[in-house]
Amino acid sequence: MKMLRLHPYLVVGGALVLFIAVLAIFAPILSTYEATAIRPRDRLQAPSRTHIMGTDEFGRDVFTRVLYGARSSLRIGFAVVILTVVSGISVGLLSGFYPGIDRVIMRVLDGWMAFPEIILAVTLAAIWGSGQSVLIFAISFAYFPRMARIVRSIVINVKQLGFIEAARATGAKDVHILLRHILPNCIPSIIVQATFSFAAAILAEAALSFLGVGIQAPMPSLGGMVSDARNYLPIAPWIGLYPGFFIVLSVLGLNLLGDGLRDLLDPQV
Amino acid sequence: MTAYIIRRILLVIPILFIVAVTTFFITNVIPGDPVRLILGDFASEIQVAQLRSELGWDKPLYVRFFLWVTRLLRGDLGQSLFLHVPVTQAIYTRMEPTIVLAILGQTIAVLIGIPLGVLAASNHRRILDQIAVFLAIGGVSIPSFWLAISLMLLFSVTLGWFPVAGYQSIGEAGFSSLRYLVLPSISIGVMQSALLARITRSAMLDVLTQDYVRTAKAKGLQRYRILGKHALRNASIPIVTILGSSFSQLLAGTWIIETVYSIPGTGALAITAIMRRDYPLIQGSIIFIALIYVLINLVIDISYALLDPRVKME
Repeated sequence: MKMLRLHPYLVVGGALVLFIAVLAIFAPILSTYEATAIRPRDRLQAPSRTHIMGTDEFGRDVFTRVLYGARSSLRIGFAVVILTVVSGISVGLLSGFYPGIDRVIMRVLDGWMAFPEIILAVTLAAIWGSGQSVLIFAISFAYFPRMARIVRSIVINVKQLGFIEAARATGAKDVHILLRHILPNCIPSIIVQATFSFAAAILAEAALSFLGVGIQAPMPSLGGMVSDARNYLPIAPWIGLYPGFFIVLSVLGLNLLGDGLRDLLDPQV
Repeated sequence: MTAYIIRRILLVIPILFIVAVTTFFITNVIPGDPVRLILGDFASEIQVAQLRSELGWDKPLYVRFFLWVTRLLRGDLGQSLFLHVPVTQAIYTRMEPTIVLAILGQTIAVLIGIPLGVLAASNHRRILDQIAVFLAIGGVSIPSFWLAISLMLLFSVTLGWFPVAGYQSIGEAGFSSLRYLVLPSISIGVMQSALLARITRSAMLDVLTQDYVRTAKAKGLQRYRILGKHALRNASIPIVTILGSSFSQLLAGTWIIETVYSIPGTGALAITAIMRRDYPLIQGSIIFIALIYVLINLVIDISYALLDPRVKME
């Protein structure tokens, strides 16, 4: 209770994320339907006791598809986080520590930032072809510069502090200074940014699947379901409303969690 | 002053170079045979070879890059593979709805975001602040396409207030063409309004702790005058800076929203180009957005130098 009062965003966001994660992980237990099984007789049924979120135009259970869609959203989001963290740390550390590398990398990132992230992700996903790993690489490629910039700016600040000078005086090598002294100071901001990257990755995956360049039918994806719903909007709005609501819940949960973590870990911002 | 402006303009050159390199490599480093992908499995070897030489894809990568950049410098982005018109012309003729949509979206973002941010900052750590911050976090968590479909369901399908989709140009329909753009511009404006609210709030919080604000308070100035005249004006630099990237985010948003509402703008054009693998048109579409981003930021930076003499000294 005290935790809730002190860090409301952390608790509410964490609870939302946990809720979605549990639903996604236990999808096979929570639903007895198959996500891709077509049953023409059950098509476009309104939400009821047998289909709590109704059925879609192929008679597939919307609740089941939402659970499996959330599952792939979380899986892709998590993979994107791992990739952006690893590449963001590598580029950010090198760029922040070595001014020569920095000049080149910053020029490149300046040009890169002229492209909105979602545009890069859509274009890359479409050109590289479909598939889950392509999707993960396309989104990571578009979103990692943000992480790299954050790590770089911390490195530049930490690098001039006294203890780095001291470590150098004792004869520590660059690699040792970077990994043992500078990196630990970046961890709190990296955790916060990783949470926001997770949220951004879920939104990007949803948008890509919505546009048809993400997860391909008949595999369920939250964005793809919203897209399918467009043709049945007046007669069966539940097909799109529930999956969209799940996207909002997971992204909101992660954003709240990120804000809560920022208050907790990096109070100076 | 002039020296600063010239230096700032020269800085655009390396950025544009990176933009060109990135665009080229994104659309040229392609797994598999792109010509085969464009023509499909049933095309003959001769057709494939013909298109390959037409596109210049039979030459090595560095030659293609050199040729592409020299044409780009002359403002030539090539021919669209499917529309059979120059890419620049294809984009130009589709620009009207996109620009109007982005400007309306930006207006909505400013009209909601800035007051919300000011309201939050002036009630710091009170209930109004917490509500505003929550709204801002909520606003960045709603996917624009889902918002678009929900608004369409409520206001077009159920209430019938707005057309479901489509567009009529301003030349044809005059002001009533705006009716087509109300829901789309809300759909792309909400997320930007939330981002703007957060920036405004933190910029205002920085300013509100300054001495001159305390002086203004001490001499009994009314609250709204302190907020408007002393605080908001001094908080405006970070706010205006974010407007530059916010506009290019809005243009990116039109790729999705124009597809949802069947608006014949450059965003829908870009998505069609991507679906058909019309590479010259894809290149043109992404360069168009990047170019607008670079130019807007140039204008913003120069206007700082004109408005605030401290800027050029840095």
